[in-house]
Amino acid sequence: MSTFSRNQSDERALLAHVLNRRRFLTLLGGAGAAGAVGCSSAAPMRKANTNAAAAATADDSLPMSPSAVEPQPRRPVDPNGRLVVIEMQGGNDGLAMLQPFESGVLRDHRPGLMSADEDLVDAGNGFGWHPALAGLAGLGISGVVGVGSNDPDFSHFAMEQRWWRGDSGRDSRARTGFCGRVCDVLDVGDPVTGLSFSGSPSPALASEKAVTVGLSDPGASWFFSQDERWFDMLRTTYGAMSVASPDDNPRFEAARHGLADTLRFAEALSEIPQEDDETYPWTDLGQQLRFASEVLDLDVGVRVMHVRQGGYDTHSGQEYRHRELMTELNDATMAFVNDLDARGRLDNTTIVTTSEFGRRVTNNDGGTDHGGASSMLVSSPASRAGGGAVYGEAPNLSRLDDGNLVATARFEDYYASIAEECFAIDANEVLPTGGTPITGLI
Amino acid sequence: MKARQSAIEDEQIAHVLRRCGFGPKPGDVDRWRDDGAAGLIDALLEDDEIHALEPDGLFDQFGDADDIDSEALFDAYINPMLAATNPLHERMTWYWHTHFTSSIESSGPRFGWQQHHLLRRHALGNFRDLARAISTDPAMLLYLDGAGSDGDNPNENYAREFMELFTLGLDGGYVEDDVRAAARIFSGWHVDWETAEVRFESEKHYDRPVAFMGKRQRWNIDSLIDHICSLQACHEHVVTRLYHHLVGSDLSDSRRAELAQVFADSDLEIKPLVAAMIRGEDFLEALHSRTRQPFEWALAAMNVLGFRAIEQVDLKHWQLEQLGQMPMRPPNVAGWPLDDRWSSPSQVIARTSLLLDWELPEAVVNSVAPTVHEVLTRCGIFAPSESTRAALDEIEQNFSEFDYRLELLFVTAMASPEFSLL
Repeated sequence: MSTFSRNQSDERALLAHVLNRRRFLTLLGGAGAAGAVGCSSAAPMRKANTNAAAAATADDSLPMSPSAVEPQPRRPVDPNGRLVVIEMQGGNDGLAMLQPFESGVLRDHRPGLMSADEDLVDAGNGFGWHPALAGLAGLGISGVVGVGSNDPDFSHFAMEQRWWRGDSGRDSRARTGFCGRVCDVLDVGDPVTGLSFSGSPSPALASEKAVTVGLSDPGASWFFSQDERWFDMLRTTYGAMSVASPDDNPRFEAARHGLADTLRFAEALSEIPQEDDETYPWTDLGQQLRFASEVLDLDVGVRVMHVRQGGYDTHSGQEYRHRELMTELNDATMAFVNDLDARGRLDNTTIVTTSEFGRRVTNNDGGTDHGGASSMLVSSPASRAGGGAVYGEAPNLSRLDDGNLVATARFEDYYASIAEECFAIDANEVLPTGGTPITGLI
Repeated sequence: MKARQSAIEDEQIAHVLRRCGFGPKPGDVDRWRDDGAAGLIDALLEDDEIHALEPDGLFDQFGDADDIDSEALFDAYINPMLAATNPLHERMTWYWHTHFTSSIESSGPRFGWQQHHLLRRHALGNFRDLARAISTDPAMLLYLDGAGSDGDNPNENYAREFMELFTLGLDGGYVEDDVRAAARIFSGWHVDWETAEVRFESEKHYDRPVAFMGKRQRWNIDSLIDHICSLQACHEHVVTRLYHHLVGSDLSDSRRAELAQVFADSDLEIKPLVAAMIRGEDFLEALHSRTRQPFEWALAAMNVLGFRAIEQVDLKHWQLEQLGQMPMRPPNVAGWPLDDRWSSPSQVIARTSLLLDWELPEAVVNSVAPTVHEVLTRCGIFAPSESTRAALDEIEQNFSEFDYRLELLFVTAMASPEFSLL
C-alpha cells in the first residue's frame, strides 16, 4: 500500500524558494545572499538503556508514583522562561510511548503494539520509554501518565479545541487559548510573544492583547526590512491601510490589525539567518524546531512557541507508523536540545508535548481507535538536571471506561505545572477552571 | 471616463461573482451592469453546464497512475476553476471538497483525482446521492479508514466524522453507542489498489441487527444514510455549513429553519438550497463578511492579473501550502477554517511574498494605467474604504518611479482588507 507524501525534492524546492525569493530585490538593485541547500540524515541514536524496571505492581494495574501536593509559594512572574509546545496531532498512543514494564495484560490487549521489556528505556517508577526515544531519554526527560479529561470526547476536533483552550470540560467557549493567555500575562509590548510555524497561528496561541503569529518560515518577511524606496513605500501603504475607516465591520477590523501587527514584528524576525543547518533532521518537526531555536536565539520577545507533529491518528498500520513518529520526535527534539545548549539558551527552556487524546487500549485490526487519557513527555531544567522521572497516577487497566483509560489528572493540572514552574504564573490566571500543578514534574 | 452606475451596485455584482465563483474577472462587472446583481444570480442558477473532465484523462496523459507528478495534478485541478465556464458549479465543487474532505496524503493522487470527479458530478445534484457516493469512494475509504474495516472489530473513524462533520453535527442527537453501531453498518468495504476498484466483502460486513439512534434492525449502508439524511438535524447541519461558506457566519435560527425546510422540501436537492441562499436579502447584505481563504484569494489574484491557466503563472502547489490551503491536502477532516486567522500577519506576509514572486504580464502592463481607479477596478473593488483609498492615493501622488508604480498599486490593492475579504 503506497502512501503519497511530499517528497524530499519538494522540500528542497521549498527551502530553495525561501533562499531565492530575491527577484524583486535584485531587480531594484539590492541582493539577498542565497545559502547552500542541503539535507542531513537523522542524528545517530544512543544505545538503548535497558535497565530493568525497579518496581511493578499487579499485572492489571499500572504502578503509582508518590505525588504529594505541596502549596506553591507565590513569586513574581518570571519573564525569562521559554516554552516550546510540541502538539502531537491525531491522538498519540501514550501507552506505547511510555509503557509499564511487565504488563502482560497490555500485550494481550494489543498484540504487536507494545515493545519488549528489554527494549524499553528505563523512565523510572516502573515505566520505560519507547525504544526509539532512547537518545532523547539520555538527555533527561520526564513523563506524566493519566492526563486527560473527566468528561472525555472522542472527536479530534472537540478534544483539540479543549486542549487549545485549556479547558477539559465539554462546554467551554473560551475565545483564547492556554498558550495565548500565557502570552497575555507575559506581554510587555514586544512585537511578537507567541509564535507557531504554520500559515496561521495555532488556536492554542489565540490571545487578547499579546501579538501571536504563525509564520511559514522565519525568512518569510524579508521584504519588510529592505531599505529601497519601493519597499519603504509598501510599508507606508500597509500602514495607511491599517488605520480604521468608518463603517468597518469586524472582519475589516481584523484585517487592519493583521496589517499593523505585520509591520511591527516583521522587521524583528527578518534578521534570522537562513543558512541550512545540517544538525537537524529534514522532517517537518525538525525544521520547525530549527526555526524555533533561531528565534529563541534572536531574543526578540518570543516566549512561547507552538510546533506541530502530525500523523498520530494511527487507526491502521500503527506498529510501523508509531515507531516512525517516535523516531521523528526523538531525532528532532534531540537536535533542538543540543542546539539550544550550544547557544546557551537551554537553561530556561521547557519543552512539553500535548495530544488531544490517547488510543483505545484494545487494538482494532492493525491500529487503535480514539481513546481516553494519555501520557505526556517533558524536557525541563529539572528533568535534564536530574535525569527525569515519571509522575502522576497511572490509570487502572481493570477499570476502563468503555475500553478507554480513565484520566487521573485533568490536563489543566499539566498546564498548571507549566504555567507555575516555567513562568511562575498563577495557574488560576491562565486556566478558566483552575488547575493543580503536578509536583516536581517541571 | 464613461458615466457609471452607483459604486454600490457594481460592488454587489462583484460580491456575487466573488461568492458564486472565484471572480470577478476583468470586465465581468461591466458585462453584468445592465442586468444587475439579481439578473446575474438568475443567470448563474440557470446555467446547467457541468464542466465534467474526462476522469481518466490525466492518467492517460501521465501513463503510470502511481507515478503522477503532483504539480500536474494540481494544475489539472485548478485550471477549470480558473476558467470557470460555469462559476457556480466550480464554487460548489470546491465547497463540497471543504465539506467532505479527503487528503491525497492517505489516498494517493489517483484516488484523489477520482474523488474530485465525483464531487464535480454531484456538486449541484442531490445531497443524499452525494453522501452515499462519497461513502464508498476510494479516497474517502482510505482517508477515514473505512477501507478494510471489519464488522467484528470495526474502525470508527468514518462513522464518527460522517455524523459529526458531514451530516448531523456534534449536537445532532446521536450518542457514542450510535457511532459504534454506525461503524459496524459501514464495515465491509475494500479498496483494491491494483485494479483501483472498490469491493463489498459481505463476510467482513456486520449484518446482524444493531440499534442505531433508537431503531434496532438489520441496517445496511443505504438504509443508514437514508435514515440520517431524513433527520432535521442533518438538514440544519448542511444548511449551516453551506451558509457559512456562501454567506457568512451570521445565521439566525429562523433563517436556518427556513432554509432547512427548503432543503427538505426539495428532497435534498442542492440547487434549490443554493438558490434560496443567494436570492436571500441576507446574501447581498453580507458584503465582505467573511475572510477570503488562501485558495480563493490566489484564484482571485490570478484572475485579476489575467492568468488563464496555472502554467502562465509561477504558482507551485507548495506555495499554496505556505499560504495554508492546498487543495486535496486539508489540515484535517474538518477542512480549513473560515475565521479571522486568515487576516493574521502570517497571511499578510505569505500573500505579499507570493505577489512579489509574480511578474506582471505584458498584457496587464499595456492595458492598465498606473492609477488608483484603474487598479481598483481591475481588482473588483468599487467602493473602497477611506484608508485603503488613502493608501493607494499616496502611491499615485508620491511615488514617481513610473516603472514600478503599477506593481506597487497592485500589491497594495491585493493586500487590502477589501481584497482579503470575500
